[in-house]
Amino acid sequence: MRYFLLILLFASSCKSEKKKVDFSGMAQSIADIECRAISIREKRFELANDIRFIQDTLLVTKNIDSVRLKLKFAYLNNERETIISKSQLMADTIKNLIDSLSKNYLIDPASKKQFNDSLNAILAKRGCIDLP
Amino acid sequence: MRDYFTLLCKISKSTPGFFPPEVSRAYGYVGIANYESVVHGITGGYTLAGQIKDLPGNGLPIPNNYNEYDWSIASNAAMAQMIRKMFELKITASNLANIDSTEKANLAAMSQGRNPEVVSRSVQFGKDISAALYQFSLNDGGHQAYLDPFQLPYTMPPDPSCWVPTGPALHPISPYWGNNRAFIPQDVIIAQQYAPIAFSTNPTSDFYKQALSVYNQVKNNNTPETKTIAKYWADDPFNTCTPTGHTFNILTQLLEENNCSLEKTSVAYAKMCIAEMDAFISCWKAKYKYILIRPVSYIKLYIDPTFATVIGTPAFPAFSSGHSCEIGAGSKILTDMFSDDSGNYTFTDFSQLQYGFAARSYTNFNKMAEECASSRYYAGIHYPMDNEEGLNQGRAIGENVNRLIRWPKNTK
Repeated sequence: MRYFLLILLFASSCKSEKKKVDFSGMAQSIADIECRAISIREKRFELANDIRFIQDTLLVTKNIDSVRLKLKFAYLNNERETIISKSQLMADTIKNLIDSLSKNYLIDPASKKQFNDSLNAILAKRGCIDLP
Repeated sequence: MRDYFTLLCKISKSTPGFFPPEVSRAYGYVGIANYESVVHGITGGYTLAGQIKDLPGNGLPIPNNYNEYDWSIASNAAMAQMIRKMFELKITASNLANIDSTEKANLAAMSQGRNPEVVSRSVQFGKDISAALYQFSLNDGGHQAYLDPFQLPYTMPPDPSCWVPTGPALHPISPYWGNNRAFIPQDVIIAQQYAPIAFSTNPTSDFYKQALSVYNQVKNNNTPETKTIAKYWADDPFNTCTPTGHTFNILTQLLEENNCSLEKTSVAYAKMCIAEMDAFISCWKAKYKYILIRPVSYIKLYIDPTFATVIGTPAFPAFSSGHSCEIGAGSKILTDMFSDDSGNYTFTDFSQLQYGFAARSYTNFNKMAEECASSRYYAGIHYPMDNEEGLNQGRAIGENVNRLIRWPKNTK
């Protein structure tokens, strides 16, 4: 809800001056949630790796005490459910924000590129991504 | 209509049993149901009846020439109903409610100022199209496959070249998918043209070199950029609507930014739906003809037992690469709809922002497809030949869809 209000606020402030679209302002409004999405995505991949390495170990080790591994595996699977629902909620929010921006402002490839460059610059400045 | 494809992505990732082949089939039938519900309103449009395998020329309902229809309303009814049917036995209550509310809201908006008789006739036409195509889908080999995606029993031949489990799944996914009926029979026949290099464990062999190349890429040559590419195009763990969904999300974005008409949108989705469903059938035909061992299994046995890939390896054989095949097919459809033969088109793919990836920009559909195919090499889950031949196979399928089916020309 907070993000939609930000976008609404941003949108209404732009209406009086339709010709000059403030891509940087738009990018600012989404950078916070995108940064959190990046962090959750990194956790998703880490968790997937942890699960896969335990599975690999369980597959090849027949004789070692695997009880501890199995417990850890069950714990990680629980984590997996939590992270899925967090990710999906966040994905829905970001998708709706981007759809709303695309409908009103990012109407062509050039404006999308400009917006994206601004977003990446902000994300890099905040340490959420490394620019190539 | 675009909202239904967005919804389809959401439903695909939250319904159990929907692996990449099963997802491509759901998209396939939803796309042609939509196309058939509007094709009679497209100037110079051709029905798929009589053009795709086993669907005779008189196999679908046709509208009454003397009556008026609203094709958007017909499309709304056809798509909602086909999505319900494609996920029927496993759909969640919340997804079902989403379909119902989307259908209701669209109908309310589209009906404003329309003659109620036209509205009701159009809704009925959409439902009739959906029912007829659902009936047609029942014997294609993939009906309700999501209930049993491992299609057991399946016996793996005892050969060192053959797939072995790479994770918790002890059986490979959808081993008989290649026997499904494709929309275009040639799409499956061409699978025979692509073959992997002969298996060998000899360190001087070409096959060994393929595996060694994967090993070196992952162990020594990957950069932060190649790792990002590997993850960007991956079936992001637990959270995506598969490569088919990614390609459709790109298509939807391009249709929106080009402000395409109902006609062009319907044609583009129908082409992509046929290409994606056939690409997975054709690819799976090759996968279970060769049942090729994955690089991770080969490398651990013959090169380095401690080898680890960048992302997890999916539970099906290596050759040919599913991602490469589907993006090869998809890139040909995108080229046909938005570019000239060069494939040049500049865009920024926003579809992965929602999953926590910085958007990537492209200037050419072929280059984009090559990046997607290479991502599987960077990830360590495919040999180079899987991607190169998969891309060729997919491109041939995309060409078939563009050329072997008569489509309306010059839609805007």
